[in-house]
Amino acid sequence: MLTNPDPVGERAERTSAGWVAKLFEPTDVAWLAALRVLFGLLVSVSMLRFIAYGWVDRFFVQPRFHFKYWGFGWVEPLPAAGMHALFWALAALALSVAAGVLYRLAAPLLAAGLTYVQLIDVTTYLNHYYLAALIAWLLAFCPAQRMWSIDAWLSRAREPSTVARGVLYLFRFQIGVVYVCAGLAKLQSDWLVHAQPLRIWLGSSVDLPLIGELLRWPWVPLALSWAGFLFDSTIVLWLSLRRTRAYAYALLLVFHALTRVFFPIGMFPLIMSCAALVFFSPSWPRRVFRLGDEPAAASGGAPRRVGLGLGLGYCVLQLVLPFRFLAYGGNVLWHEQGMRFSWRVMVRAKGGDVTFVVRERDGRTFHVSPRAYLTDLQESEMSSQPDLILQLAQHIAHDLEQRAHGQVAVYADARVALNGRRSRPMIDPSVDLTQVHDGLAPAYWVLPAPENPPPHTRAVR
Amino acid sequence: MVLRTVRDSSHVLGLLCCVLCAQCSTPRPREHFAAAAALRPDAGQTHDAGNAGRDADVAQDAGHDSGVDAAAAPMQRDAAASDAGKPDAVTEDAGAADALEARVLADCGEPPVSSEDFSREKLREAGGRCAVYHYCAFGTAAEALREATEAYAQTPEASQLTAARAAYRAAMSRWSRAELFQFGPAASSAMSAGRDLYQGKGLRDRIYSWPAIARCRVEEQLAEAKADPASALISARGLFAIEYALHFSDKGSGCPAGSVAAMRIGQLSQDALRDRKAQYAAAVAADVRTQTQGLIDAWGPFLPQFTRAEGYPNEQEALNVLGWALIYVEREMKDWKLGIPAGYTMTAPVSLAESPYAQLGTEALRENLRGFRALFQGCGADGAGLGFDDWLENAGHAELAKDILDAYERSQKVLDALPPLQAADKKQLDTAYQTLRELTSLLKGDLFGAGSPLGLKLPASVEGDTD
Repeated sequence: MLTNPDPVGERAERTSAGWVAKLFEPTDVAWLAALRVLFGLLVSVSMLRFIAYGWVDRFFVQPRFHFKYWGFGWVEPLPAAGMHALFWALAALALSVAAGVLYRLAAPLLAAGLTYVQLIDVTTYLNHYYLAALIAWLLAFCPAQRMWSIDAWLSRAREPSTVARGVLYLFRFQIGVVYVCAGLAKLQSDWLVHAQPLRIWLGSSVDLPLIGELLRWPWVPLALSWAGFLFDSTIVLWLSLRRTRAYAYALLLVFHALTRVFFPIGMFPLIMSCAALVFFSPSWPRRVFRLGDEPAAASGGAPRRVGLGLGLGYCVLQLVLPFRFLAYGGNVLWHEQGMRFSWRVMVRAKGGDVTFVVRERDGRTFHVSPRAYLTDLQESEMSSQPDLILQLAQHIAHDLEQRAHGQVAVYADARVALNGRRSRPMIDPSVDLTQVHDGLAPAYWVLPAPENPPPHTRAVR
Repeated sequence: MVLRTVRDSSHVLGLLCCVLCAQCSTPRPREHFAAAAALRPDAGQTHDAGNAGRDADVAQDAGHDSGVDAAAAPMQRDAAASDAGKPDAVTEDAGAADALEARVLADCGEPPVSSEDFSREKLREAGGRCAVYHYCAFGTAAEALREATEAYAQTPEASQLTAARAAYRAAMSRWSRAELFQFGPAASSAMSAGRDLYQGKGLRDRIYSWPAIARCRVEEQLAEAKADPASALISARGLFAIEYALHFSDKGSGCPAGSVAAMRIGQLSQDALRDRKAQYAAAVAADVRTQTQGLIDAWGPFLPQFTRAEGYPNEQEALNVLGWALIYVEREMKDWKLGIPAGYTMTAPVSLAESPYAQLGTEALRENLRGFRALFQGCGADGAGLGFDDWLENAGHAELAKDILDAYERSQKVLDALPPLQAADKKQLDTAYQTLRELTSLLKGDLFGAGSPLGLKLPASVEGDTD
């Protein structure tokens, strides 16, 4: 009698094969087409806002010095005319994506363009710009043009109006990571016990009609802090359950509308409100807009190892990046190592005053104000981020050497205030920053974070 | 040319020698004026984008002589050629100051002091009323200056010149206190600290445009038989032009040797040039008086508007703008006025130090800081009235308010003891700079910025989105 030598292993293999088959099971592409249209329109508006508000000049043309991402020091901005042309091109590409015109070309170009714009200067980093670039790349690898696109309309070969279910899961995973990480980032005493920095920010909005007076009540910021924490941490769960989905989405709309009222948060609420639609049934656009029947059920598509590998690799990366701060220890809101790309949205009110102390070889000492090299916006961002302070210190040394000052030592006198606390030194003033290697190792030259609780701030009418 | 001029000078020569020779082992203030211009990454830019086209050449105007550093040479030459600071002038000043105080009291009354409970609206109103009071006080001083310069223009004699200089000193002192109140119509609409990008109309620059000042631009006006200051560039009018006309007695020109202005001035006799300067000083003083009245008139409808935060995106943004006026202490005062002569600031859009001819730089610093107190603590005597300190106390941050006021007191004390910048030694300048830096660090590190307990943003943060 023959017996299976490893029944557990065989069962696991079957289960695993079942999961893989499910990932490649065709599902209605309507959700993806709707996401493509909405995302394309939002990005187009976003690019036009850059042009209309003069941000292309202020962020990319006017600065004489640009802060680089680690490993991307080679990325340089285009000349002024080129930067303006790029934003017009990105707006056009986004519209092209929305309309599904030359999608296979437009989508990767849009993703590459958004990524390039991100990489020019660290001080322009925003979580929602990063998210927009990620969604653009995901779309570029997906057949989102299969429905409701000019490409599909013009195509002679009729493409299936389905997409692998794994693509849907991938988008849900991405949006889910944003919310869950934003929620976990609030799991700390400043937010949950002292209601900071919300207490400071809401104190600036006491003049708002109707709700302004409410914000003066001392318990309101604390209640909103908890509400924000619970919302971010659990909304993915409620969106994933069929029974609660509609209510959860309504709550999501209210939440993002409120964030738009309270904070200058730009396109973020709209992007998240649209992106969260991926938690609905894949055919939701057909039902809502009465646009035809769902495609007939089809048998599973053939698993593609490359697609599976890329998808899994992407997911692992998106899990590792937000939690890499654990490798550094300490307070990530203070030392900022592991801060970017981790969806720590609106959890720190941090500002500071930095002066660079330059010592020449003959002992002569003078001060360099960051504004000698930076725009106001860059200075504001740099003042509380140690790696940017390091970059500027090394640039100052390089610049002075070129101006015949010879080799100089550069120290930073940086006082930084976090979440309403009094400012304190952030950079070790005895460390010559020209001798520090700008890498991924823990920054020994960053002083410990404050451990005292933030003081209570009262909203004043 | 520099050596010759210095050799010919009198009283100021000794002071300059102290700075230039006796301090050889330490960074020398004048060296750093030169370094500031030479290293300036944004050389050629003016401080006000709104006037960039008109005054693009201001920063390059400082030193045209080949082989002479861009900023230090005019300072040395001009300071040597001026004869301010003589004992008789000081005596005259005291009398003029007393007389002016009486006129200010009659015209403007006591500084406005609000005894109401704090509210953010009351803070804006208090700040606005304080600004108007200081403009009014300066208006009285400007009228006295107009009268004195008019008398000098009609009778260009030494006694009238002394009186005109005393009136200038009193007016400059008054303006230096009002200088800090750069919000509303006085402010530039350019995006920068101490500016009002919503309601700024740039009226301040028509009265006093430092650091956008240029000797050559003034001399171009002098070279014209009938100069009209009202249509001149901001760098050729205002208090700086009066200072030059009243205090610079050398016949040389700051314009390039081959320029029309330099040639015409060179053709004038000493007396004819003196008369031109006297007439131009009178014309500019009259214009300054007119512009000041225009500023006061503009505040008429603007004060209630500012109190209600109308014309601003929201109430907090109006308070941000009010607060940005305080940043003057950090940039203009610490970095430019003190940091350059102390040798700490290597890059700044400053081609000429403040008050290079009358040498009132230290006095201006003292009055600027008194203006800071009037806005931060309250407009009345000893800081009575509503100010940002009251906001901090009401918001639960009394300790920060106290620390800022303590730092202010220390800075005022040091500045009150500081000799004229041209005579100050390295140690004195160091002490003044470092003491003021304690105050500015509290402002930028604690009161303003993303970490501000009052949500007071720096100008940069109104640009772009956040998340």
